[in-house]
Amino acid sequence: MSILKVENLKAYYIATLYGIKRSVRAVDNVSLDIEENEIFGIAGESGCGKSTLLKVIVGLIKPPLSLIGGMVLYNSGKDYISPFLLSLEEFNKIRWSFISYIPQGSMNVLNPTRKINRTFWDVIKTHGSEEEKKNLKTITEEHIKALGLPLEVLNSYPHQLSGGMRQRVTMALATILKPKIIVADEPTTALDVVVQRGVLQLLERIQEIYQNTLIIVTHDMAVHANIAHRIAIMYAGKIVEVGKTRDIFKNPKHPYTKYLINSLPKIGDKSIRESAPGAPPSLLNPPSGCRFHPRCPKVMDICKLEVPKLAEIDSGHSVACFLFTKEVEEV
Amino acid sequence: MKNNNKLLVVSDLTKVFIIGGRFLGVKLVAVNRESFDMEEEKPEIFTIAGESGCGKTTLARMILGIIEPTSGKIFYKGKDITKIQSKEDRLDFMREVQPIFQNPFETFNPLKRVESYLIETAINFGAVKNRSEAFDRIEEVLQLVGLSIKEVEKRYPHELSGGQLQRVSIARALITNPSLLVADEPVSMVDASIKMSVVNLFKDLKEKYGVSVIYITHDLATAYYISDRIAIMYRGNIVELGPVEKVMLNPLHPYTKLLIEAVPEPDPDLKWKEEIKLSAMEAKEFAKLGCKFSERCLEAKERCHEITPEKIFVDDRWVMCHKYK
Amino acid sequence: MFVILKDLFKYDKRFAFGFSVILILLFLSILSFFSPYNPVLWSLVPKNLPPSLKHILGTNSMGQDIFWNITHAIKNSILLGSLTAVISITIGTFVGLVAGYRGGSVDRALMSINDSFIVLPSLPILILLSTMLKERLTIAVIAVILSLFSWPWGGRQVRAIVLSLREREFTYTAFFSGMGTLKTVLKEHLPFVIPWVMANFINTILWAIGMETTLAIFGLSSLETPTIGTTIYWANQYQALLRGIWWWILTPVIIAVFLFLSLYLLSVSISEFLDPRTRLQRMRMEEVST
Repeated sequence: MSILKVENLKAYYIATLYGIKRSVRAVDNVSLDIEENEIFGIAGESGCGKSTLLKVIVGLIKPPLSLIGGMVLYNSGKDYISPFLLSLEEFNKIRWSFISYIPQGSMNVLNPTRKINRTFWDVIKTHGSEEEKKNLKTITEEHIKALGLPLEVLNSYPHQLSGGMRQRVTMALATILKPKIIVADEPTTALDVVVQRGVLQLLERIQEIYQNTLIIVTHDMAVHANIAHRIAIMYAGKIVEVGKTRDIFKNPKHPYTKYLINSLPKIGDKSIRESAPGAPPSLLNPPSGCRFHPRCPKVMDICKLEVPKLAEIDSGHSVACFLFTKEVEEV
Repeated sequence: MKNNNKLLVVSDLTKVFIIGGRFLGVKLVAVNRESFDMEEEKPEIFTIAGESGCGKTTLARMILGIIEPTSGKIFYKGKDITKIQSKEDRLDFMREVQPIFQNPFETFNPLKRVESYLIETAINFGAVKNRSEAFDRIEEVLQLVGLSIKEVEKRYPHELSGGQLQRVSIARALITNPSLLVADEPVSMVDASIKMSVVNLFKDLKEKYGVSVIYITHDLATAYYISDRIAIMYRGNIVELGPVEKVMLNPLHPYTKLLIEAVPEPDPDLKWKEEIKLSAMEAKEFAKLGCKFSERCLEAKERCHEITPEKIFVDDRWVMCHKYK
Repeated sequence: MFVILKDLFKYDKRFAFGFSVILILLFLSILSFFSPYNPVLWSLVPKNLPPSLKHILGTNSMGQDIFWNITHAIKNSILLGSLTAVISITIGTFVGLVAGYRGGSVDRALMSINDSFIVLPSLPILILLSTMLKERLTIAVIAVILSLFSWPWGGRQVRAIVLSLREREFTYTAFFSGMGTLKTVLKEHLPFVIPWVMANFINTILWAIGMETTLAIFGLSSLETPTIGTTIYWANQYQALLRGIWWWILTPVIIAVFLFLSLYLLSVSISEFLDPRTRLQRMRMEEVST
């Protein structure tokens, strides 16, 4: 059963400066179905729109970002709700308890003058149910124990913790009310590999314990390989391929995904890796048709004119490429 | 002297930063009495790898002469570069050793056209006599990195992609025909789909043109891919140094082991199995006696906390660990 | 240049307002050259006349036409402000650039001179100086004295900008391209400093005119020379407000308010337009539209 549906989503950054108006088409007609109890990875290079997609999913649409069209729906179990249609009050109710967003560089959100357990209690007091408010101490301790973190961190100030532990504490904080969906934007970027491994372990553990959905955005394919169940590959504002992690890594279909996977270096393997030719396009003025066509070695005439539609070619494996499908996206 | 036929000799190099005022400041030993050398006859890609704050960038900047060492010496082709005073000597040194920086969008002034740096380099180092000759030389180096002057001419940095800019940056460094490039995280900000083309470029430069490269990185996968030798740094010390196959496929130092263990494999079949343990509290390892890694080391014995280990030559590489004594 | 002015005028209301007011004031100051009266002489017209067709802004108790007098005052005030700005910005920018880029002992020496000027209490010393020089005060002398107190602020700020630029990677690229200190500072750093210089230029004009007005009100300026400040001084001296000669005191006050407001708006909008970040954004946008 899908817990989150994204339908034909379009979100552009619109800026006006001394009379020139420009829109950056960061998310351009994206549809996704994210299942309950899975780790869903969104991969792509910097500037491909993956972080913007995440922001729209959690309803954080502030100028210059504006929603052009499409819908995001959460499945609350009883019915579908959309973050776009909720009032701020209603939305605040479901934040933390239903959907939790861990932004990039979030280890700095901890208040340096408050002990960690205070911060946890604040969140429970503002967003928790009556039941949870009564037991805030035990809930916090049990949560920390369940995640395998040492209890003494609760009694420390943020600066006493190591950088990696701070990052893990923010993950614990985001999941204290056991949200159905956790959304993490580049949770391990700028972390050292050893710490990165600790954070990823923790995220996996949280998902295993609470059986919820984890959406993780990162450019690092090796992270996806280690943690994601399914992966969506984004290129220039569009999703070009979605599939199970194994399928994406072992049997990539889209020429862009192929380049991405085959160019990854591995320790113990010195064979030559080749990059895709050219460079990703500017989203101010993306190429016509398939956005990868100027770099694609298998480009055909149709690729320059029509936009390929993301279509299922194998069970659970969808590709937006005319090599595999004849379906054209309607604009 | 022992410096014959050496391209670069780093000997007992130390850099101490004082953070927070001259009198009340805290001493931070960024690089602690480190030494290594590179051969002149045999060009190589020498990687210095480690986590953030291990001192790798400080080491690179000392080699480039951007920051002054607290003590120790750096010899380039037998000349002590820490003693360079005159402008001519400085230019001579820069003709031989050139940097590649991390962020291609910051390498060039965003308000200036990129070609201006190419022209400046060509003219200032006397590689050419006039502007038209400069353009010939620029075309030559741009072709080396897979670009042409048409793609670069009259362009501002924001009009080029990160990958293109990093190529221009390499081309600029090549104008003077240097023997050594010092590249500080040159691909960490380059898009994934073009990263390897830049990495391959370094490989080509070494193999075809005999340019040696000091490659500073935290990315161990690319380090394995291009380097001949690797030095693993931890808190100001090189804890293991040797041929990349030896160090990375069969690491001896516990820290190297931990580091390589933590690198995620880009292959769903090779997922991590067991969990690793991490320290929870902020460690004050800079001020620590003995081996700086001992607090985190699973194999630490009593002496590790008290005595700084010496460097020992085992199985083709240097290791700084009591275990192998 | 013209296109930029047009764009700014069209899309930035602050600029449009400020620029129009300044144009009007400049026009008025140019009119002073066609003035039928010598501004220094008294009793040229009947005293204390309210505004009329013959004397649009009336006349004052000294027998001067207020309209023609104020054109001289505007000219002299703007001249004084600009002169002060040119002197102090030139010194400040130069000192800041050198101190920031060279660092070390050069920086320490220049900054200690700089800071000595900053810690001097400017108003008491200005009052002292003007009292001492009272007989010899001219617009140029006042401008020099005011510059003495305004350049160090600029020097500090330019130094701070250059210090941060010096650590940017492109400065190292310039260094390894064999560019010397002077070239690096002029070619690499100045483009970042200029927007600030422009804004600060206007701010200094503003400050200088304000300072001169303050001094004049205390009677410590070149009182024969009409400026906005001295006009207010004379109006006060003759108790214009109490005696109901409101047109005499109101004219310089309104002019001063509009002058300050428009200079302020101009400085804000120009510094925003020239800010390297906005400039880059604009370059990016134009690239797509062509």
